[in-house]
Amino acid sequence: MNWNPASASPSDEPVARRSVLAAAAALPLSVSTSGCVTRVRSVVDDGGEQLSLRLGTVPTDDDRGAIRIARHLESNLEAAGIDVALDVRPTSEFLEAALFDHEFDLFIDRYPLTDAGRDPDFLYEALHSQFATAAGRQNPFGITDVDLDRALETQRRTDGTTRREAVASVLEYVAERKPFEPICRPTEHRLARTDRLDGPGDRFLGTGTGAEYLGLEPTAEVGGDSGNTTDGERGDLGDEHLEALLLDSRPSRNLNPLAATMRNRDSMVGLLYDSLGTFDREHGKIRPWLAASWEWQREENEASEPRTTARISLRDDASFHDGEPVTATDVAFTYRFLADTALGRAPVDSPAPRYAGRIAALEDPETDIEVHSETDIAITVAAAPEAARRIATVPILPAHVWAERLEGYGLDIDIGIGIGIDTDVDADSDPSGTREGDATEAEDANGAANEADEDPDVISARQGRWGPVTADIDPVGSGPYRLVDRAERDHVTLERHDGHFSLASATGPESDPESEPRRGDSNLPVPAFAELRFDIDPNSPSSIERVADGDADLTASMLEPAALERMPDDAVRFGPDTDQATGPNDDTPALGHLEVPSPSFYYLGFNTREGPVGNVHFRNAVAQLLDKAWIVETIFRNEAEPIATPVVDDWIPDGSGLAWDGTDPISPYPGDAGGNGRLESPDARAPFEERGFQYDDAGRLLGRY
Amino acid sequence: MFTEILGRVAVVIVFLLPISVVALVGRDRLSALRREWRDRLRVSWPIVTVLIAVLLLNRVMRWSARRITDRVGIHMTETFYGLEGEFILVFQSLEAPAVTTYFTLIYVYGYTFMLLFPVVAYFALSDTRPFRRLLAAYALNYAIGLVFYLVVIALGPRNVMPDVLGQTMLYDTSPEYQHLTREVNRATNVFPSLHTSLSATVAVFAYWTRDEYPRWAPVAVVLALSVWISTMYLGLHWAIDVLAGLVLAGVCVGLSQLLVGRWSVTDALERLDR
Repeated sequence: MNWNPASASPSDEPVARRSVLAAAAALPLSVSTSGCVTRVRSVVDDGGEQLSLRLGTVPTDDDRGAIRIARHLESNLEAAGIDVALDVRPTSEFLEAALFDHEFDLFIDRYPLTDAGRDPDFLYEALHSQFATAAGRQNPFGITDVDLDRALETQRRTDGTTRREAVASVLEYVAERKPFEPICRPTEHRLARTDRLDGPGDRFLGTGTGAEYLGLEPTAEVGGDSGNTTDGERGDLGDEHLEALLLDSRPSRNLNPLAATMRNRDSMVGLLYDSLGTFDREHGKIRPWLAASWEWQREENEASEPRTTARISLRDDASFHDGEPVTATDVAFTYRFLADTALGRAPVDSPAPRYAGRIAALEDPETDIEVHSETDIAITVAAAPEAARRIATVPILPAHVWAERLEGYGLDIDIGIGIGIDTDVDADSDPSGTREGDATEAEDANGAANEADEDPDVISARQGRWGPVTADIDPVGSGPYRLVDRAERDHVTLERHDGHFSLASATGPESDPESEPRRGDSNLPVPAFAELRFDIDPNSPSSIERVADGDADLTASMLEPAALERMPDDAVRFGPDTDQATGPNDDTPALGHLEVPSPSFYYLGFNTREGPVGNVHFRNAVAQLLDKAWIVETIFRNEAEPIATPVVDDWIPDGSGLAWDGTDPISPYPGDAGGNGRLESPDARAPFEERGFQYDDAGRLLGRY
Repeated sequence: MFTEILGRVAVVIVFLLPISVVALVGRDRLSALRREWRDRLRVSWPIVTVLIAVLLLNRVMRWSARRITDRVGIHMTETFYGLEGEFILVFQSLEAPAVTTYFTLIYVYGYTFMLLFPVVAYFALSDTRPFRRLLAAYALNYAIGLVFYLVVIALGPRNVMPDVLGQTMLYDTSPEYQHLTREVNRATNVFPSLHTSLSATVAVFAYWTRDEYPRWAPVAVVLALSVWISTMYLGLHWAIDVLAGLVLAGVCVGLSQLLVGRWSVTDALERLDR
């Protein structure tokens, strides 16, 4: 505890207490808000209790940046006379506490954004009140505000300047009302063996979707044909293996794409599952992927609110890992299932705990999705074309596999959504195998089954927590790689899906099942490596060492900044601005140090549902205690940029005063910014005292607010 | 990587153990051992079996018992940190590269040696009771420790305050060892410190057998003290874990005295045979 014991008087004595009250009564209190009136009264009631907060985050092994920010904040909160319980939990347990059970008052987390997250529409799921009571990634802050909802909807439903204005007002809201406080955007560093991999510098510019592994080629040295598709060469793809090191062990424990506590960004999900569209970094927008073509048309007829209809033609050569073709039925099932995982059979809807923000654009999943044929489908969303495309980035699930799985939870899918589904499934594609029982939610499943016994038409599907969206599965998708093996906390091994549409041998009359998979005719990036093995290694220094020694090809996760000093000196740096020599030549360096700014950012989350954190003035005072300049310099070794607003630079409104300008324009640090990261008590108390919060004479912030 | 580190540990032990056995146990006892090992094993096999069973159970349960932990596990990191705060930083005052190397070697090699040496040394005694009691105490340590690991979810100091432990954290200075410890333990299994309880157990036995092995007793005590400090110096355990480890050692040593020699499995089997 950081207050100075020397200054503490025997404050428990009634005389001292009365003198404080007398002083408080005599002083002309600067009552600037109505909230202060209750505060003053609480002092009169004897507000002797010190204010205490629970601050949650993840351990060093999982994210050294997050725990160090939390320690910094803890120290400054204590200097401000607040009692802090620092609660560190392994990532999956942390997310459960923060996103599902709302156990923390404050939490430090990294917001999982991929390149597609450069679009500010992610703020919709972060802040819309429709998610405030739901479990999952969406709105963990519990913020509810009608005006904010309106602004979020406007930015989704409009394009151009109107949208920019709506985004600006959302950003102003975040700055003023502080549902969360953005801290910094880290630069992601990786180490790759450029003597084994061709083009990692290019591919890993966009990260977190799995797309970065496509088009990554073995060099000629190790037997690849180096992806020279530009000269029309159609080489056979070899049987090369890629060994990547993953810091996060969760994919080895659970591969359910909907499990919110098991996923941050989606490399693994993106490799196993295809989505209708994929983010095209070059053009900065979402382009067709599983869709052969599409057309997004604005509909502004009878309805006052503009909507967009996507007419989508699916590829006819895409198939799931079990050999079944991907059809419009699977697409319709996916969207209806994500909108309500109970498919209308539970008393209340049970939206999936991930992707809910995107899916919320579907107003009525029953009528707004029209299946026209095996490959033609129309989806209408309450959004303008710009934001509407985000709906195309969810993983497409095989209806027949999930139908069988859901049956195990008492949900008979034929009754549920009334679309014809072939339930003739291979035994080995059964996802409800032995692993299902591992999950704690098994009892929920039993509960569901029991209730279903009583009334076959009603099931209990606890939103975000029931088995289908939390329990581990054997993932069956249509993605370029399929799961072959994994061992908990050890490795996840994927194998090329030879039936993937990017490969020539996928289907078609001339395909020969015996032949090696070949590149397709199209210019699609291909899964050039026959096998991707993700070895779990939670230690950044050891990961660097292993790649440098040739024991592995790539560090798949972002390396922690503190370990960068161990990067080998001969590693050639590749950044977004680097002109990279592609193709094999004699000068190819053995090691590449890849560097890319990330759209994802660290933030301080506030649980605004209850307690002192429900008070906007309190949140503003707490936000001031973060020395972002110091955090970036010391914790991230300058491999991050401090931020005051959660969107990328293109979306920061001009002249809004939201851009970082050397100091925090909104929540200025009350001490010497960039100094030693520790506030002296008077400085730390100032933001609270300015806002009328009361201290006792031992310097403790009083617990009534 | 794991096999490489394991190999390194094995080489060191294979080198250290014979030397220390010859130096501390003595040739007379070794030649007696060559004559009598069958008889001694005949008396001791039940406890050897128990220990092997406990070790196997321990290995299986720590990994596959997530469901139990999910249900009954209590998050205690915040409580431990709240109680002792930055107390273990007192050992950081010793910080120097040589000290870090010393404690790292103690934590990995010294500890392994400490557990294995007395097994050989006590088997070389004509009285099998110390041997059987030691194995019983080991088995109890692992068994009781496992129960705590299933119930208490706690992360060590290195996972909570990397900012102040940065210079001495084991996996920062010697990342290779994380591959070794990761195989035998999980980051959330810190309470109690089995390093502490087992080394304390060995030290108590070494004190009791000081007449038989007068030179081992001081070595064991110094090693044990070093192991206790190393767990905190390297940021792996809270002081609370170390205290709990000492209590656990006391309980296990006491129980081993109570239980071993009370019932004779071999006698019982012989009686059954008649």
